[in-house]
Amino acid sequence: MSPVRNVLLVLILLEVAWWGFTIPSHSLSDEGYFHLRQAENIRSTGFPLVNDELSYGGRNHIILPLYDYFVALISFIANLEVAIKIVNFILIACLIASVFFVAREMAGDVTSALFSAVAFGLLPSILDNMGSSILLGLLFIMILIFFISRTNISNNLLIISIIFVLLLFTNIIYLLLIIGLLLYVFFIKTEEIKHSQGELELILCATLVSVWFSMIIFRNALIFHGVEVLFGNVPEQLQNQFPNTISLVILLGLFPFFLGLYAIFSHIFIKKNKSVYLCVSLLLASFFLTIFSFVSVNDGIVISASLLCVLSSFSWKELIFSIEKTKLSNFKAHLQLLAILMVVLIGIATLQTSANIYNSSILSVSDIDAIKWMSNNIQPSAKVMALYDEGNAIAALSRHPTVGDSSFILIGNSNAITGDQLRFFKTYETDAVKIMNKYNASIIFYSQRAQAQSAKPEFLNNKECFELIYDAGAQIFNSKCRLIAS
Amino acid sequence: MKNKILMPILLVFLAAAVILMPLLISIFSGSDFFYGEAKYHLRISKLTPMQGFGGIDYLTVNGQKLDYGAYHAILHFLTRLLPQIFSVILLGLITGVITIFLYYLALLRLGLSDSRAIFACAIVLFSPAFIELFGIANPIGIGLMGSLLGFMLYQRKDFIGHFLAFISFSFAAMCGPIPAIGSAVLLVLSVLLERKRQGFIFLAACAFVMTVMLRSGFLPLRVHGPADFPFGIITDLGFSPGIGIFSILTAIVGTYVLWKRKMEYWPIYVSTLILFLLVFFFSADAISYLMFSIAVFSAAAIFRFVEGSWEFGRIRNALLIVILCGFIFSFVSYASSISARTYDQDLVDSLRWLKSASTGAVLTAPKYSYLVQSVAEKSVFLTPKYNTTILFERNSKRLFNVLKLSKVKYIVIDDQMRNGLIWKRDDEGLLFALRDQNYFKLTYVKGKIQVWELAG
Repeated sequence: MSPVRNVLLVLILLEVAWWGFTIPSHSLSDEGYFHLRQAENIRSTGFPLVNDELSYGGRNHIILPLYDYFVALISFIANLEVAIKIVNFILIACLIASVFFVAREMAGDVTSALFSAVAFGLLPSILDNMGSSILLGLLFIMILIFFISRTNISNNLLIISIIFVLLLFTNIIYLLLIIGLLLYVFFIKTEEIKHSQGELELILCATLVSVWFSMIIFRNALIFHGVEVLFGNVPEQLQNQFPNTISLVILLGLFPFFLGLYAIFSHIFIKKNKSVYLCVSLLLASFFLTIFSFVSVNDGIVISASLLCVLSSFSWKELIFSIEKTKLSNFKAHLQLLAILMVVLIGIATLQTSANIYNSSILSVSDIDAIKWMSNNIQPSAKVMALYDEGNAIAALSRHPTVGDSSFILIGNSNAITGDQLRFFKTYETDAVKIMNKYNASIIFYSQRAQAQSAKPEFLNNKECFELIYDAGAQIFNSKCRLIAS
Repeated sequence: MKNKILMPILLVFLAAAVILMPLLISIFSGSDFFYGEAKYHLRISKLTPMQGFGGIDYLTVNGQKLDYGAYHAILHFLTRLLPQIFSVILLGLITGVITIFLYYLALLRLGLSDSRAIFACAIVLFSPAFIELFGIANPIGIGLMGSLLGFMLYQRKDFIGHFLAFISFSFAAMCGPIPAIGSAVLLVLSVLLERKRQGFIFLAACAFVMTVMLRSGFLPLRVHGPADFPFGIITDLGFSPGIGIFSILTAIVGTYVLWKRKMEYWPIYVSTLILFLLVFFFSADAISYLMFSIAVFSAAAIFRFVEGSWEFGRIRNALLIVILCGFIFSFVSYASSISARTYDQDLVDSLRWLKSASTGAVLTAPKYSYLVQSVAEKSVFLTPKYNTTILFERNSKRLFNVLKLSKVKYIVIDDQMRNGLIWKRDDEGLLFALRDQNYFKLTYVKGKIQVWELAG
């Protein structure tokens, strides 16, 4: 084994170890707490939580439960919060491996594939999806890409079908896969690239199966929201929250981004590689679905970044091939190591910065302590007003009903509710009381996150109306006033 | 030979079963068979043709023209012999069965094989739009039958055939603008297919008569707005009338499959394109015609799946099962949505109370206007074709003056209107204005229904 491969392999192991140490130190995202509750319900009843009495003070969920069953399964060896972190760790490790196998299958070079895996392990966008089912969905997509890009598809028909069915029950990104595959068919037909008929049959079948599946699973949501359901019924205030260009490039990974783009240019316009067309089709689907808010920005970025990592293996392979043809070929290994060093150093820097940003965006330890305090010290029926993306954590850890959270499907007036939550800590006293009365809420959870986002509202100083009942970093208030209609 | 007779007969029975479905659902689920616009058609069919054609609807504050057509006239005479509900069902049943049979014959005439024609008919039968056309009170269905009958009679190529075709097309035009346009499309295609001089003369004569009829002011001219592009025709996404998503998906594949024979099937391609344009730019009512051309492409795709060579036979079988399940799902899903078509009992009770109250027009959501007209028998300020700007007026004095001028005396508000149907906040628009007790007073409350009355 060449020294370069050894170094890359060691780096991958170090990355896996880093994720292993890092994951437990972070609390989960709001979606993570949603899955926590689902897994908890699966453990106790065997089924996911469909009729949720806490979220929005009572609502129904539409669940794709495979990820939650996975967490519930792991929770037999550890408590739920640890289990979800173990699952995250397993998924990230598997994703690194899957990127390696896909890149090796496509580029046909082990060193390039190892480089792609290293690049994937340094992606900052993974952090933003901690606790989300997207990681499991992405793993299934990677496995499917691996099998579809193989020459003989007929031997793998059964496994492709099984993985596809599993993906259907994991995350809505199966629609992204389908749109990507349809674009792929369009490209290979228009570019007249050699393909098997079985490939097309498989894609046609997968398309119709996924449409049928969506119609069944999302039937109520389709009737309730109509076309809006395609956009996740995300409130207007939260739509189109795209990062700026520099942040986007950093989240996509600096090197995967540029190397991936070069691979697209070189293999689409010059060499017409079928595997690259597959990745590019999925990349385009991810791009457009994110732009049109069909998938969330975080999901779109992590999928695109993974595909760019796979594509960058082509560029790496070409780069090495180019060096071999020059007088620097004797220093090939040294140059590779130098490049890897650069990639790793820049990757670590961006990853650490992103980890700091991520830490400030999630609930702090004192926030979580405050939520847990609520479970024992406030009567269970009291409804809690908090930021919209703290709702699932409150429901999961304190078991109190909340005004709203970050799951918007089947919520009729999500615009109004989220709008009220977003303006609550920025408004004046009468309006705040009015909002509390409107949702019949009696508890205000003023987290350190909320404190960091805006200055403390003046009305929280009025002790007659808002009694401070907990103060240890995060604050909890009891709302005592009612607005009498004139 | 036996199959050739058996299959159309089976088709007719299937059509009858599908058409009767809304009635059966309303019986078993307790939903309203006459829901929404059906109430309007039922109400105006009580008028004689002399009163109806070109008449004024006195239950609208600005005296809108009645949309009285051939359908209402026939229904009027039928209701003299039979109870209303049976008249509607009988009319739908007869026209629906005849329509599907004519469609079958038309497909054979266009060169489709017998089995493909049967298949296309079955796809149409399972389209929610078909149930919407013939299963409930809907004047477009009978117009559609007139168009297809005219098309088939025109194929006789003799004077009697042409004369009867002329009568049929004229009859279709009497059922509304969409049947008139649909007839025109079919007529133009027939003439272009034949390319004979007398055909063009016939076309000119029909065009002249139809134009005169439509401009006479005696025929219904109301249409619903265009469908939302591009999803507004898909029933599974909550749109009604609509076509099942699997019909559309398989039709897309069918368009590709038939593309090599486009010169042979150009009339179907052209008519589909025209109907798509009509649906998205003129009126969603044209879906009634569009579903027939979509079914042809859909049937072509399914036949290709069945007869074509496949690398993986198992995938083909799975695909066919999925398609079948998809069609059934769209159908069942639509059927279950019919069972949810019911008005809140408190709303109906409130309108019954309103019937006994003193005269004056009613302001409420356009969705309830037909219910107000038929239960409270009072004129309404907003009908579905008017915009709802007035409901967002916050200035109580201005609102009071506008309503007073329009002779509106009552305002009916329900929970749905407060929660998204009209308003999203409890101090939005008219809800804010109603707080001024100098101008408005709450006179009746039943459950979550409020009836407000203008002061003075």
